[in-house]
Amino acid sequence: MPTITKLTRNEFEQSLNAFVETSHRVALADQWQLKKDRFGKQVYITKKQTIVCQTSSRQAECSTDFEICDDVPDIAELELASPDAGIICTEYHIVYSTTYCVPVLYFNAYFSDGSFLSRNDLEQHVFSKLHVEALRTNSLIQQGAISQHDHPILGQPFFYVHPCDTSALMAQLQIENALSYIISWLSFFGPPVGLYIDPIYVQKDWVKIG
Amino acid sequence: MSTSVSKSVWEGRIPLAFSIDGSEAQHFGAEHTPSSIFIEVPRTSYLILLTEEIRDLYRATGLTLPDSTAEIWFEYQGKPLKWHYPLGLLYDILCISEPSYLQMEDTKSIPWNIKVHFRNYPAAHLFRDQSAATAQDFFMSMIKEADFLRYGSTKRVMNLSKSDQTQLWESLCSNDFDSFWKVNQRLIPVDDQVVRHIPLRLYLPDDCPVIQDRVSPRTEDGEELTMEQIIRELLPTLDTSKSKAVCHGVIVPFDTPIIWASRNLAYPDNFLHIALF
Repeated sequence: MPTITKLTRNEFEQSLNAFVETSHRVALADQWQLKKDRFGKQVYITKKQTIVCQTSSRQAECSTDFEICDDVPDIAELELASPDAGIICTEYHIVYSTTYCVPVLYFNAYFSDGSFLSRNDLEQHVFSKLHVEALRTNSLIQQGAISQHDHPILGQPFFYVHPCDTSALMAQLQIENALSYIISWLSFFGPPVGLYIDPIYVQKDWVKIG
Repeated sequence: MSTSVSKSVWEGRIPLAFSIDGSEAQHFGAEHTPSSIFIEVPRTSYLILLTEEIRDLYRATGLTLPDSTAEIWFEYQGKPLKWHYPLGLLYDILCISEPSYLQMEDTKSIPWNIKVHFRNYPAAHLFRDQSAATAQDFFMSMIKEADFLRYGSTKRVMNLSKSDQTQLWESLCSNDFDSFWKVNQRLIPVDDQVVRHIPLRLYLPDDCPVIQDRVSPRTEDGEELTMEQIIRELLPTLDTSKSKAVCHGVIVPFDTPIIWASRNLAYPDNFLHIALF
């Protein structure tokens, strides 16, 4: 069976529907939400996460000392629990690229005072330490594999993982349907930028059935 | 390709008038509100390339400003200006597309009145980490995307040497037409070479998201499509008899062949940016 390297918009949207439906069924803590553009046409999905750094200083290192909460906790409660906690909210969007015909991961992150994390802040608090160096390297883009782009549907600035090599990467895998495409893709592109996928997604038989 | 058209596009300039609010000038220690600062810039240039000059000029008028340009931003009628867009494009989207513009045609809305801010950077609306390097990255990602749309791979861009890639951006910054085209001619299709898709973005009023999709320049029978046919395909509900398409400050006739438009009217990022109103 030929492997899937790209998705049409229809395949992308169908797989998002299946992914969100399944995420609500098998991984209840996973808060993926299906969204539509203002004309009700284009579909994308979003997820919010909270990172608690055990220090109040934004500059301080928190490489090993943080936890990721899938559900968004009450901020006041957290601050009460640990007065030094720095709280960062991250927001991930999976949006279709009409140019490259692949999913693209867009994200933003905010400190608890509402201010946005810069690229440096992201490296320090959100990105996987294992990948920080690799994410800086790209032959064309000085900032590496991650830079800023206007969200194709919202028009607001987001960071995004460059999609131009996605289909070449996906060609290395044996992917038989659009849903397992999204899951495999996310397992590659999520972790470097702090978005981890629940192993339950790849354990269940439904992935193969799609 | 018609070099004269590309050269005219490249030589297009916009006079800008920068001003600052009295309260903001006071905040930075000015006794009087400085009068406007006038600068003329190429349409293909970017606001980010002006921030240091603007800061220095306002310092000279008596404002005590920090060395960092991180908080500097620009605004037109309440809208923060995207500094990663070419200035000519911003002007076309925000000024020419305004209903009042055509009525004012005699006087034109020039110089373009832009407000400068030195604090309260609107990070929800503008790219963070503002610097020429960030704008350059965005520019190169557009070049790459244009390459992919045309040929189905990014080989042409990726095969450029590092110094050629840099030359694209630097010649744009220094407004050096010949230096830019020395590299860019290797990215565009030769003569009647057929491209898969046209790098095209459509901008609508009211902060609508940018319209961008895969656009083939020909029908299945090989017939060349016009701007109007393409726009109708992307925006089936738009009444083209009541609309106008603007590029580089000029109303582009709807019967312009899209291939001609892409070759001659594309911005240096290789995209055809069309403001509709």
